[in-house]
Amino acid sequence: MIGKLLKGLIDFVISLITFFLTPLDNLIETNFPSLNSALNSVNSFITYVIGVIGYAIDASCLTDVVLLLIVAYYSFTITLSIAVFVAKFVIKWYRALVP
Amino acid sequence: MRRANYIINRILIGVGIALLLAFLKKNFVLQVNALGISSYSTGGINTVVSTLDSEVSLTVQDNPWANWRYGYLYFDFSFNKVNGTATSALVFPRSAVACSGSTCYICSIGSASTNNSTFDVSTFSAKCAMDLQSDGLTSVKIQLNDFQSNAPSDYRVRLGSLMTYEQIAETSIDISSINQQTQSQMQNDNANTQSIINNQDSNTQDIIDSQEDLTQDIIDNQTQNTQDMIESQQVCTQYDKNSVKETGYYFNTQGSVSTSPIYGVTDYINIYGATIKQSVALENASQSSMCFYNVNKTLISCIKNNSITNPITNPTNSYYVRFSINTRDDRPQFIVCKTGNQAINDSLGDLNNTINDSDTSYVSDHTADLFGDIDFPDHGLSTFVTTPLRLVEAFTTTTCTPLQFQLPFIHNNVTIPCMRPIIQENFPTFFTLFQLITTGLLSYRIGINLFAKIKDFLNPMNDRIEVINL
Repeated sequence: MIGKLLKGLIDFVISLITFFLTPLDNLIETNFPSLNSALNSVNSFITYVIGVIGYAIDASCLTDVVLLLIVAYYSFTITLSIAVFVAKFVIKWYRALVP
Repeated sequence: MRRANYIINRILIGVGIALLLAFLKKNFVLQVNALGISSYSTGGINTVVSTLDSEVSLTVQDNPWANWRYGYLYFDFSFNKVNGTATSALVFPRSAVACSGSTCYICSIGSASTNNSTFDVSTFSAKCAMDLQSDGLTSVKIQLNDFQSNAPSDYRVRLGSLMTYEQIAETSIDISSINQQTQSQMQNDNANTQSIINNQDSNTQDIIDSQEDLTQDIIDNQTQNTQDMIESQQVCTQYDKNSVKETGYYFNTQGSVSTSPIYGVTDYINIYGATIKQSVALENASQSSMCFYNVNKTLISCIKNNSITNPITNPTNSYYVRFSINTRDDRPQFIVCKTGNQAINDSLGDLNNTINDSDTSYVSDHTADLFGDIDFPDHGLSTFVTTPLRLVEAFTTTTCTPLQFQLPFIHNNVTIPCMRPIIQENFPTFFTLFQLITTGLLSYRIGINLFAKIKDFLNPMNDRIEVINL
């Protein structure tokens, strides 16, 4: 139950961030294709790591309680940190673009 | 000397009576309604007379008889001139009725003279003797017995004690004898009145009892009628393609599902006490239209499409049904009807089951899917920023899949199985001990870090909260 709630919260934050950064993503994709390729390469690597992380977690023999604590802790810190980061980022761009 | 004493006594009695009457006079209030009748036909006389009987009344404001036991009432009746001219006698008061509480006394009124515009008080009067002190006078009415069409428009009725008029004071009346007669009459009247009251009480109680019985009968009938009405009401539910729980299946003749791109099957539908009708026949005659289950959702039997006869006879002990529904047909394909009472009971049962259901998987699944179903295109920057979150999320979603890779040069595939089952099976003690230690240490570490993070977040001047720092 808690794990699914955390997953819902994480999905919400990811959706929110993607929504706010979509204009920037489109700008980068259009005007800086090389930078976009580099970012995509990093993302591909992360995606691969995520694909094998299940094996690593299983091999670590950690209990479900510990895994849940880890997820809760990082959900808390990362969600707030990214929210602050995105807010600052958006405000900074807004101030730069608006005269 | 005797003559002088007699005169003195008479004078003293007259003075005393005059003082007493002055006291009584101010304690009466005269209330006579203006009758408002100026011209009536002879045929309407009786109606008007009865109206007069009820309206010509006197009401005593308080009890002036407190110090005047066995007093006398005196009535006189008069009316004014009509249009300023004298008229003949038009109304003949016959009697006056004086009531105190539930006891009333009828007082005779003498005959009236006929050619006076205002009747003389002595000729048109009534006299009553009654126990004024104990009963207390409450009302007086004048009863009329004759009437003519050119009646005057207003009447006047006066009430006073016997001592109001001087001529009465001069009349020699044997009060004691009248008192005795009055007392005897009052006792008889009281006895009669008490008997009437007792009878009235008994009759009233009988009426109340019958009313209560009647009211209860009405309530019982209403309740029964309401129950019958609910029973007679049919609550029907139609099942169409929107009722499908699992698409791509239909029930085969054995009651298990078979794949189909056309059909879908519904969830378990409560049909206890219900009547089922099929409104649209399925295309494939060999498949089952519906399957019946008992209360434990164990399959009882299925009905094939080509053997349907409406309405469908439910098997014994059937409690649920599932339908095969053509998802390409927009029409309602099955109809389940229940009596109103059964439908209400089922609704209450469903509500009770919902309230007592501790399974929250539906809510948690849909909570997780609420934002997960939003499909944003993957872009470089947003994906890069959200990578840590996706990594954390992978902890809750990913499961172990054996690693597979190909060895170079010899081109053989190598599969590394998941390690946890192997360790748990071969080193159970180590596995338990390891989990105990790691759980304790990591939980402690996470708790410390969480506390520190909260302190950082509470500090508004802390600028180190950046995703890079993570």
